[in-house]
Amino acid sequence: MKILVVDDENDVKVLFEQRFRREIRNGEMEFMFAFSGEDALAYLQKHNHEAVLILSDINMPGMSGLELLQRIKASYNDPSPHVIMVSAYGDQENYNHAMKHGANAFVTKPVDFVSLKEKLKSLV
Amino acid sequence: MAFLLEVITNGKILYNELVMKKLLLAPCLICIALASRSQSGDSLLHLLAKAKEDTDKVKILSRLCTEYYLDKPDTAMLLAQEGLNLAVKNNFRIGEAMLLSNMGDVYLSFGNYTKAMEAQLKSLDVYEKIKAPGEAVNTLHAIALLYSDQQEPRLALSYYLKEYDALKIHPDENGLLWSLIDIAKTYANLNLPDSSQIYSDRAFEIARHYYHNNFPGYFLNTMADLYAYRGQNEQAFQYYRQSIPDLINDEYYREICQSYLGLAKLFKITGQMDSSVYYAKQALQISRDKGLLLAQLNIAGFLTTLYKSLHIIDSAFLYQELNTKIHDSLFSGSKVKEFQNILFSKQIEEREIQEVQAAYRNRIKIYVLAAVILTFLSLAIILLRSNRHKQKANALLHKQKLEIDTQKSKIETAYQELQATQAQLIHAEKMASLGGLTAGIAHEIQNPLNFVNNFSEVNADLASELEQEIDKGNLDEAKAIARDIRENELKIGEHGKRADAIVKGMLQHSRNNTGQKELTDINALAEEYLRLSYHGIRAKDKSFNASLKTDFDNSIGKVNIIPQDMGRVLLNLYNNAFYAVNEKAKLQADNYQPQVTIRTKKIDNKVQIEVGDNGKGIPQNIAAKIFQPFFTTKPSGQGTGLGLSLSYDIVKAHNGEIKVETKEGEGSVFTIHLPLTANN
Repeated sequence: MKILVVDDENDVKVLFEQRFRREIRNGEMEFMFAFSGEDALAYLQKHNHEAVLILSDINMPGMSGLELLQRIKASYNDPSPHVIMVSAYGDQENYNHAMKHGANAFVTKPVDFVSLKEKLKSLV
Repeated sequence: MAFLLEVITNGKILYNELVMKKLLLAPCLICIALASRSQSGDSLLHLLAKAKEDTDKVKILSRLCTEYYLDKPDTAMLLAQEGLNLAVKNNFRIGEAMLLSNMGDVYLSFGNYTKAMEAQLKSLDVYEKIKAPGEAVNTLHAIALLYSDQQEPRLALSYYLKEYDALKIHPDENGLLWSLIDIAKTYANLNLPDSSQIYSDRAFEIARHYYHNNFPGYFLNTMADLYAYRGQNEQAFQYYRQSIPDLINDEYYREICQSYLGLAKLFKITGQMDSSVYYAKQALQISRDKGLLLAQLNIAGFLTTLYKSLHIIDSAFLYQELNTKIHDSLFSGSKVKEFQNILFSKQIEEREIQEVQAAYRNRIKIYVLAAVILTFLSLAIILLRSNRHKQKANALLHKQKLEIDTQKSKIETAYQELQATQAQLIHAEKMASLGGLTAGIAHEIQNPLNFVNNFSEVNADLASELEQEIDKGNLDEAKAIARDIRENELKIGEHGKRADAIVKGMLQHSRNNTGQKELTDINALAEEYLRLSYHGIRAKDKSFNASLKTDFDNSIGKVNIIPQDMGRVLLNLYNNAFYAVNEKAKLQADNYQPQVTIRTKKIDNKVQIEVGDNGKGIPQNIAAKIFQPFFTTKPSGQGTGLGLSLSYDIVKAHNGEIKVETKEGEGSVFTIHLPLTANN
């Protein structure tokens, strides 16, 4: 399962690789990383349908996570990839906005990796 | 004509009759009347007839009076009256005085001392009024003589001295000589022999020169009198004797009598009584023959005392009787009284005059004093006024100064208050911007904290995995895990420091004191504050989103600035940019993509920092005001109006400049230029 992680923080990559080191080693999960919304769209364009799941931060300079969500849901319908929105602001407004635009799940920072793992596994 | 003939022939008509008939007399008739009286009188009459000017006539009449007053007193009186009238008519004052004096002489000839003194004093009064003391010699002499005759030697002396002074004005030796003699005589009479001697010596000096040592009898006999008075008998004898032949020769009977009487007196003193009687009788004979009443009086008096001393009582009685008779005729009781009245009134008058003069002098003194006082007073008033004026001005000045001081201190206080307020405002603005930042800062801290927590958790997992792998004896895997742990540990440290830096920056930002300039990575600063601002806005408005575009020139290197100050400038510009795009986003919901741009660039020796937005822009009429303090377009409570103003000040303090380019509805670009060389 290919998972695209979108976050402006570079260290997210290291963190995910370590958190999911066993799943990566097992070949259960494969992680790609994009550091902005724009990067993410470019990746998706290149690797159409490769990513099954997109995990995006909302709060990013430039294209925000929500915009990315809208773009993805608008551009990739057949089937559209799962999108899980991650936000530091765990407020209702963000949640509603994400859900309205077709987000499959909403995760609040700091990320509870145990529950995230379960969510990912259930989606796979 | 009969009257006139009478006048001419015997001249004994009564004065009153003359006065009564005077009006009938024309001057020419007088001329006829006086014709052929004497040689000099004739020539004078001739002159009078020829004289055209009234003043000349007056003068000639005066001289005629002098000519006639002894021999023909009636005629002289007539002439004197005529002359006086003429002088008064012509307001010829000297003439008036002259003729008054003449009239006095005439009165004396009549034996009327009272009238004589009156006339002489009037004359003197005129002379004094017209201030012609030099002309008053005759009058003064006449007055002195009158006093002398009336046994008033002190008064006589004062007039003789006045006469002497008057003579000195038009010196003439003869006049001075006789004046000196008169004075010497009077001093002797006053029993002041030393003074008398001084004046008689002076008289002799002048006489020697004047008479060329050929002294006339009347001079010698006068000097003899003087010596006799002073008890210098020998000289007196000598001069009396010397005088007599000359006097007889000249028919000076009065003086002959005088010399004889003098000798008689001297002989009486020396005890030669027969000689004394002889000379006294000689004198009496001559005086009787010549009708010299005064001389007779004196001689009779002397003979009375002489016979008394000789105890020849009947003779003494005889001469006593004669003496009384002559005395009565000369000085009738009333006459003496009258004269004394005149004397008294004259004294009063003189005292009055002196009083008046004293009063006048006093008045003058008072006037002068008053004038001086007035001058001083006015001066004092002027000084007082100017002083008061000055005081007023000073008071005003003082008041103004006080006011100015008060104003100054007020202004100073106000200024201090203003400074304090400004400091407070700056601080408040900082705090306000900090408040706005809180969310952004929280987010900025939250992120590294999340990493710290996550890596920490990961490391805990990895540690237990490491144990399991070691237990399994899988050393390679164990090594890999250990490597990861170390790597994560680095990340934990890194993110811890990041949070730490944010907190420090926040503290720096809120600190009141001005920071120090330090070499700063302007790009990093711009990015940090962009994030802070962005997250700050996001914290307040969850729906807000904007694309952030950064375009950093990495060739800039480090710039010497006060980082927290410049950070605030950037923060303000970002906040405004976000506010502008957000406002526009609220209006145009869908198609609008809010965007804030930060661009740095090195241009020559300057750093250019551009903060741009595609927000609603600033209206032109406001654009000029945005750097003014307290200017804000935000609703009240949302902005202090100090952000851009302080930014402007900070940039200025860095020797830089800040400007804005804006187009309403399309966005704004704020551009900062900071010098790289100066202060860097």
